[in-house]
Amino acid sequence: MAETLSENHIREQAFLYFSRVLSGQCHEMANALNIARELCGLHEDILPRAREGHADAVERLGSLAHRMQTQIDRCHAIVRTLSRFAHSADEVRLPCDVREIIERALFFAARQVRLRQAELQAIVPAGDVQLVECNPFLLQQAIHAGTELLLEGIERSRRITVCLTPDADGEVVTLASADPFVCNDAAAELLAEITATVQAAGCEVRETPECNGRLKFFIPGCRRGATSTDSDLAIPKGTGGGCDVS
Amino acid sequence: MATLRVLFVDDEEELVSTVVERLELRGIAATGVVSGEAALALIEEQPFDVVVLDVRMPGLGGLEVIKRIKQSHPDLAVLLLSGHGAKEDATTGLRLGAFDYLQKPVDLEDLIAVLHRAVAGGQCG
Repeated sequence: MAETLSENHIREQAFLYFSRVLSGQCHEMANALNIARELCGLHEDILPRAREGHADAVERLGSLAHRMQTQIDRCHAIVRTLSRFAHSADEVRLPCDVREIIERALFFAARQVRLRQAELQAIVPAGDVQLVECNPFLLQQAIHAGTELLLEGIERSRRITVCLTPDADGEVVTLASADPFVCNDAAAELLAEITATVQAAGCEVRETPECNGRLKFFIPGCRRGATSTDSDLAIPKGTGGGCDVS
Repeated sequence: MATLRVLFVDDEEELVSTVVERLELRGIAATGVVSGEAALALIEEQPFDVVVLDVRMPGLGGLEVIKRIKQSHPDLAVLLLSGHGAKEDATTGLRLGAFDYLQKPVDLEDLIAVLHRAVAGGQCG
C-alpha cells in the first residue's frame, strides 16, 4: 500500500475536492438558469397571443410558470446543498447524521455518474437520525471518491449502489458495482487517497474492491434515536443532480 | 428565402424543447435532440443547414460529434455552445471545423444572426 499520506496532502486533496464540487455545481446551476432564461423568453414570445385572448396561449403561460419554477427549485436545491457542504468543513469532528452525508456526497457525485451514462442508487433506511462521529467533510469526500473509483470499472451493469447498514458500534457504508473492478495504477492511487481520507475522517476502510467489487467504510457511532434538528435534504432527480434514495 | 433548417443538440431536454419552440416561432425549421448519438443518426435521415451542438454531453461530446459530422457532411455548418468557457474547447472546436463557438447563455437573436451567417458563408447540408 502507498506510504501514509501527510496531513498537508490530505488538506490539499480536500481543497481540490471542494473546488471540483463547486465547479461542477456552478455548471449545473448555470444550466438551470439558462433554461429559466429561455423559458422567460418563450413567455415573452407567447404573451402577445395571450393578451389577444387565445386560450391555448393563456394555457401555455401557466405551464411555463411551472417549468420556470422547476428550474428555480433545482437551483435552490443546489445552493442549499452547497451551503450545507461548506458548513461541513466548520468542525473537524462532531456528531452528524450519516444519511445526510451520504445524500450530499451522492448529490454531487450524480453529475459525473450522469455524464458517464451510469446510474447511482442509494439504499438508506428511513427512520431515526443515525448519528455518527467523524469529520463529515472528509467522509463525504471519501464516499464521492468511492463512486468515481467504481465508475472506472463500469461496463455492463452501469449501476453503482450505496448502502447504509448498522453495525455493532456504528454504521457501515458499502459502495458496490456489479461490474468487475478495474485495478490499474490510477485506481490504486485513488484507492490509497480514499483510504487516507477515510482514516483522516476518523473512520475505517473495511473492504476494498479488488476482490469482490465492494468498498466498505465503517463509521463509529454516536448515539441512536436522537432527534435531528437538520431537515432532510431534497435530492432533485434528473439532470440537476442527486439520486434515488429508497 | 428558403426556411433555415436547424438541428439543436443539448442533453438538457427542457432547454432543447424551449429553444426549438422559440426558433420555430421565428420561422426557423428547428429540430431538437438530447444526445450526440441521436444527432448523428438524424443527420443521416434529414437535411439540415446548421447544427448547434453543446460541448459537454453524456456519451458523445460535442467535439467528437463535430469530428464525425465533418467526416460525413463536410459542408454542414456546426456551431458549438458551451457553458464552460474553456479556451481549449473553443480552439479545438474551431480546428475541427466549427463555424463559431458561443458561450452560454446566448441571446436568441444573436444565435439566429450567427445561424444565418453560417449558412450565408456557403456551408450547408
